Amino acid sequence: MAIQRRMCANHDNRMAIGVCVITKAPICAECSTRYEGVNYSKEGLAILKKRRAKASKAGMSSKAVGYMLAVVVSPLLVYAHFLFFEHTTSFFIDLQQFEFANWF
Amino acid sequence: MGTAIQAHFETSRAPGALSSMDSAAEYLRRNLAALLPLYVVAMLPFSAIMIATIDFVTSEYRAMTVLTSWLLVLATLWRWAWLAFLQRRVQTDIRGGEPHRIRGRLHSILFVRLVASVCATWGSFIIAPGLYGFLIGGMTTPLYLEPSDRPTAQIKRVISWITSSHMRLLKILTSLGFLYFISLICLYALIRIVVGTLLPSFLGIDPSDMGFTLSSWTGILVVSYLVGLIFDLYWAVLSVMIFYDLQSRRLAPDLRVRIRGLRNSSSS
Ligand SMILES: [Zn+2]
Repeated sequence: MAIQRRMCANHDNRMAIGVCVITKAPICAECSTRYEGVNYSKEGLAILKKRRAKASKAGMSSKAVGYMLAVVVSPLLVYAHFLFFEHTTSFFIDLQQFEFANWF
Repeated sequence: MGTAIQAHFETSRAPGALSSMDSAAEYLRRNLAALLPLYVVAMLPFSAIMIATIDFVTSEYRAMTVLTSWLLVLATLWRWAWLAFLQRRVQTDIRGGEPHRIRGRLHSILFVRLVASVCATWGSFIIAPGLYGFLIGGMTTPLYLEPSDRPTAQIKRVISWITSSHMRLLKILTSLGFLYFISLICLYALIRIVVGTLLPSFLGIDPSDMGFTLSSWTGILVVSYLVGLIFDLYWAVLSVMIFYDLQSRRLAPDLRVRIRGLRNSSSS
């Protein structure tokens, strides 16, 4: 299989040392930036930055929504517990009418 | 080499459903002195209010139920917070190393416990949510203390673990329930024998004087509660064991697949 000789996307006269993992464009040593162990072109790096920012914003807002939800729901959950204890106590008071105790 | 690793995994799968119950009992026996102070702190307010509630119940003092119910809610939150410290100790002993940080995670633990507990109480009318709530409630602390970027994803994972190991977990829960009732019945029988025959014949005490401890509502409820405490402490330890048991069962098949992949790639 013949080795494909490719030139840098920005420099016609320079050999490409690799391709950008995002734009897939062949890039020379000068055009490539190694980040987290992989090669990026300048355009690719910009796209990555934008994606990361968007993801962290989405993460932040989903976290904020989660906290808001927890703040709203918590009192209801606490009240549900109160109702459970209150109903159980009343149930046991009612149960005594059956004189269960005499069975033991 | 490959077969040796595989053989190891085949045998590590072998322990039966109740093996985590054995290891929890063994752990509790060895570490009771260290766990008991934490457990007493966790349960003291709850127990005091519970005994008062039982007293109000048997005296049919309905006016107090609103107050005691709110106090029980507060004592429950206190109980969960301290059980988190107790379970952290168990978790640290199991995985070794430094204990995980609780600060900053306690509010999440309490929130998930609230949700799980609503499922375990009101949800138990339709059974399945009750079981999930009960199991997740016990595993909340180890789950949230285990380092993870997204606890919500972890919760989903634990729900899927519970679903895939439901037979194993049902066996554990039914054995626990069975043990609880057996120990209650044995204890009542013992009390009856002591109060009914031993005390009057050997010590000349009239059983009708202490009859209330035997057959009254107060006696039945208090004894059931006290026996329940032992099982509650046991469950706090057992649920951490179950958490790691489910995790390893979940991870073992993944590892097996990876080992198979390694062997295939090296032979080709
Ligand atoms: Zn270039």
